[in-house]
Amino acid sequence: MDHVIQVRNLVKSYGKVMALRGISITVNRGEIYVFLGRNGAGKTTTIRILMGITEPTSGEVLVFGAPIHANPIAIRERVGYVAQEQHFYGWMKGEELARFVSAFYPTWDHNEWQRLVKRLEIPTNQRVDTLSAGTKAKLALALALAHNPPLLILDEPTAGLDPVARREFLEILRESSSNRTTFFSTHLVDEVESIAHRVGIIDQGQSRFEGTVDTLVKRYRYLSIPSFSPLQEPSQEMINLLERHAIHLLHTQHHPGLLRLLLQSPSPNAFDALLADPAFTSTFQGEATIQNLSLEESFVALVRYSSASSSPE
Amino acid sequence: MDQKSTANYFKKASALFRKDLIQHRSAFLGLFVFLVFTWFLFAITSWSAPSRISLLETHALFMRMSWVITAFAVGNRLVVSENYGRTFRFLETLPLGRFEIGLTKYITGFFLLISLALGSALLSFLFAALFEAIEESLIVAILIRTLGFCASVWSFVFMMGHLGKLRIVLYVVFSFALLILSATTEFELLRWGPFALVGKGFVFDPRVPWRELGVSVGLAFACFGIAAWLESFRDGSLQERLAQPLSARERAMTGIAIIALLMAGTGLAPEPEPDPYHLSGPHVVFSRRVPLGITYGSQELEDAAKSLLNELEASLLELQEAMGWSALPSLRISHRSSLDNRTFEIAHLRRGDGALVRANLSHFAGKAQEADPQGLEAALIRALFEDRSNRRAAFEPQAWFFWGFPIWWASCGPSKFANPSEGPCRLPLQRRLAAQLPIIQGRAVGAKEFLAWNTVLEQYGEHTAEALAGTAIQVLAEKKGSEVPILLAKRWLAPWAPNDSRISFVNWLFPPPKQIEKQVGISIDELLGLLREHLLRERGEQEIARFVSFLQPWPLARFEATPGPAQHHTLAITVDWARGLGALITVRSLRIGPYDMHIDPALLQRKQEVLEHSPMTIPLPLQSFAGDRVFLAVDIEHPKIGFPIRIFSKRIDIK
Repeated sequence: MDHVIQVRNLVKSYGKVMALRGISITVNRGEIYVFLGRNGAGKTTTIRILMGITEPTSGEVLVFGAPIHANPIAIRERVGYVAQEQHFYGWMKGEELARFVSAFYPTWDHNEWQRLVKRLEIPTNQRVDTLSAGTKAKLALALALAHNPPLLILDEPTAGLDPVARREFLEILRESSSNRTTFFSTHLVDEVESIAHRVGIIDQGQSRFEGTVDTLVKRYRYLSIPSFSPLQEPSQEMINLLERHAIHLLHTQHHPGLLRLLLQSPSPNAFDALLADPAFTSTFQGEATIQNLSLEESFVALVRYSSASSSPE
Repeated sequence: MDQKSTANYFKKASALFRKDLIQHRSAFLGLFVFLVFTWFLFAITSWSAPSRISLLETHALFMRMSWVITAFAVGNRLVVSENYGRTFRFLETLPLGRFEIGLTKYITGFFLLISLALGSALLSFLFAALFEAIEESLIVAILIRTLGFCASVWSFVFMMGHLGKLRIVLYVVFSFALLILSATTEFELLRWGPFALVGKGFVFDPRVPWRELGVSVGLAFACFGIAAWLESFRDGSLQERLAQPLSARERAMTGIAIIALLMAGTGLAPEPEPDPYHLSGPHVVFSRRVPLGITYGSQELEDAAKSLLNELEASLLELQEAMGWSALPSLRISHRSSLDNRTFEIAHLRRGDGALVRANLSHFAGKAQEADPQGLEAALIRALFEDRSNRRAAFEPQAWFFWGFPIWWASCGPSKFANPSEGPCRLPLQRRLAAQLPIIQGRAVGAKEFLAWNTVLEQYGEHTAEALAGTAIQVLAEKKGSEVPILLAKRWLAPWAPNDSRISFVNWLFPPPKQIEKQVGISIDELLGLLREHLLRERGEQEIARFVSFLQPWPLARFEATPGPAQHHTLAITVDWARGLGALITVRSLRIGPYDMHIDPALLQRKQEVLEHSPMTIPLPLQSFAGDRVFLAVDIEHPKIGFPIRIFSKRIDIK
C-alpha cells in the first residue's frame, strides 16, 4: 500500500505540557482519512507538524515518503491546506488573494481557480473581511485546491459554519477528493461518517483508533433490556456470560423502562456468537436486544468509556 | 539552493514584498510626506541656525530624528501588525520558510529605510554643494556612517518587533538601562556604536570611525540573529501570547513600571555639581538689587569691586526696566590679572545661565588710571543679550546693533545724560578715535558691511567695530531721540529667542533695515550718511585731528608665503611704519576651512613683536601647506594711540 502520510510515535511537548504522547497515523493514497478527536486532543498540533510548521519533539513524520522537516517547503508546495480559522489579509479581494497565493505554488492552475470560484460561488471582487465565515471557508478550499495538490489537509474547516454551509462544504469536498488524498481533521463526527474511508481517533495526545468506520462501529453494541425486567444492575451471571465471549461491559445506562449496556469487543463476531449462545436467552430472559452504534456513538464510547490502554487497530 | 529553487524563492519573496508595499501603502505614503516635510524643515533650520557649520547638518538632523521615527513605524507595520492581525498564521502555511519570511521582511524594511536615508544624504549633498565645497572623503564617510546606522537601528527595531507586546516594556527597560549605565559609569552612550556614527562628527569628520562602525555592524548581526531565532521559536502558547496586543491591565502595569523607573532614575541621578562659574569664596561681592556678583581675587581689589558693583547696579536696573524684563539672569564679573585694560572676555555659558565677563579689576583700583568702565559695562550687557538671544544676536543681520547698543548704553544710557546742560552725550574718547579709523584708511563702511557685521569685525577688530556701531547708534539717538535705540533694542535684543528658526523667518519676512526705516523713519543708507558726516565733523576736534594726522601715512603690512620643500610654506608679515617704532605688533592667525563663516577671536593664534625697525618682517608660527586657507590679522598698539588698531586683515588661500 502506498502511504502518503506516515507518523510513528510522534511526541510533542511544550515545556512540561505533553501535547502529543506518541501518536501513529498512516494515510493511504487516494483515501479520505478523518482525524477525529475532542477539542484539545492534539489534532491541530499534529497538523502543524504534518505541515512542517512545528517541529516535533520526537518521532518520525513522513509525507510523500520523505521526512517533513528535511524539506518542508517542497512538501508544502504539494499540499493544499484549509485552516479552522481563516487569517487572510482582510484588505485583499478574493482575486488579489489568489494572485498573492499563486506566487507560492509552481503548479497553480488559474483555470482551476476560476472553475472553483464559479462552482463555489465565491465573490472574488469583494474584500475578504466582508465575506461570511462560510464563504471564507469556501475561499480557503478554492485556494487550497487551485494548485491541484495530491494531498489536502483540512483542520476543522467546518467548525464555525452553519449546517447548510457545512453540508455544502462537505459536498464540494467529496467532489474534489477523487484522485487526491484528504486528511480531514474534525470533532464533528456525524458529518464525516458518509465520506470517510478510514478514521483515526486521537484523545489526550494519544492514538486511540485507526481503521475503517465499519471496524470502529462494529466494536461496540448496545444491549437493551426491557423495563419490566426486575434487573437494576447487570448481574454477575450476565457479566460472566459477556466475558466468556470476550465482550466487555463499558457502561450501564438507566432509561425509563429500559436498562442499556454499552458493550465492546475487539472481534465483531463476538456479538453474533453471544446472540447464538443458548445461555443468552436464559440469562437475559429472551427479551434483550442488541443494537449497532453510529460513528458518533462509537467515537464517544471510545474516548469516554474505553480504557486508556486500548490500542489502535 | 539550486538555480530553480533560488528563482522560486525570489518569486515568492517578491510576492511578499509587493504584498507588504500594497498593504502598508497608506502608512508608507504618510511617512514619506512626513519625511519630505521634516527634511525641508531641517534644511531651513540648518540654513538659519546661527551656529551652523555646514548645511549637511540637515542630513544629521534627519537621520537622528525623522529617520529613527520612521524605522520604528516601518518595524511596526512590517513585523508587529502581521502578528497582531494573526495573518502570520496564514503566511506560515504557505510554502515559504519562516526564516525566508523574516529575511524578506528584513530586506523590505532595510530597502525602504536605506532608500530614505540615501535620499536624504543625496539631497543634503546637493543642497550643501550649492554653498560649500564638499570633499569626496567626507561624502564617503557620511555614506558609510549612514549605512552602518541604518543597519544597526533597523535590525534592533526588527528584532524588537518579534517580541510582540513585550517590546513596549523592553524599550522602556533598555532606555533606562542605558541611561542608568551612562549616568553611573564611565560609559558614554553618545560615543558608542550607532549613536557615535550619527554623533557630533557625523557630517563634518571625513574619517570613518571604524571601531564604532564595527560595533554597529556587530549589533546589527546580533539583532538579526536574535530575530531569526525568535522567528523559529514562534510556536505554542508563547507565540499566541506575543501575538496579542497589551491588555488594559498590562498597559496599566507598564505605565506603573515606567513611572517607577522614572522615579528610580531620578533617584540615581548624581547630585548636580556646581557650575564652574558659580561664584563662591571670600573675595566675592554680590549686589542686593540685581543678580550681579563680582569676584575680585585679592583683598586690595575689594573697594574697586564694590565701587564697580554700585555703578553697574543702577545701569542694569535701568536696562531691566527699559527692556521690560521681569528679572535679570545671573550676571558675574570675574577678575583675571592676565588681561589688559581694554580686554573683556565674555564666557559662553549654557543657555539661561546668564553672563560671565572676565576683566582685570586691578585697572579699576584707586591708583590705576587706565580703566575702561564703559567697556566693561558694555561687555556685560553684550553677554546678557547673547544669553537672551541664544547667541543669535551676534549673527543676525542686526549684529551691528548688538555691538553698538551696549557701548552706547554704557556711555549714554539714561543715567549718563541726566544733565542736558553738559551737551549731547558722546562715546568715550578712545571709541571716538577708533570710529575714525575706516575713514582714515579711505574706506567707507556701507550698508552691505553693516548687515554682514562679521566682515567689519574681521576687518577692523572688535574695538573699532564696537566704536563704529556705538557711534552709529549715538548718531541715531541724536537724530531721532534717545528712546529710539532703546525701542530697537527692545525689539531686536530683549525678547527671549526661541531655540529654533522662528526668528530667522521673522527676519526674512521683516528684514532689519526695513524695520529701522518703518519704525524710525530712517533708512540704513541715510543713517550711514549721517554717521560719515558726524565722523568728518568730529575730525575738527583737536585730539581727533592729532590722532588722524599721526596715522597718516597709514601703517602698511604685507603678507608673504614662501614655498618650501614638500609644498610647505613659510608665512611672514612685513610691517612698514617708520613713524611707529616701538609699537607693539600683534599678528593673529588661524587655519580655516571652507565652512568657517565666523571666526572666533578666542581661537586665533597670537604672536607679538615690538617694531624695532621699519620695514620689519615677522615670521608666523602657523604651519601651512599649499591648498590651505588661513586668516591673518595684524594689530598695532602705539603709546600715542592708546588702543590697538587693525592695519591688516585677510583670508588667504595658500597656492
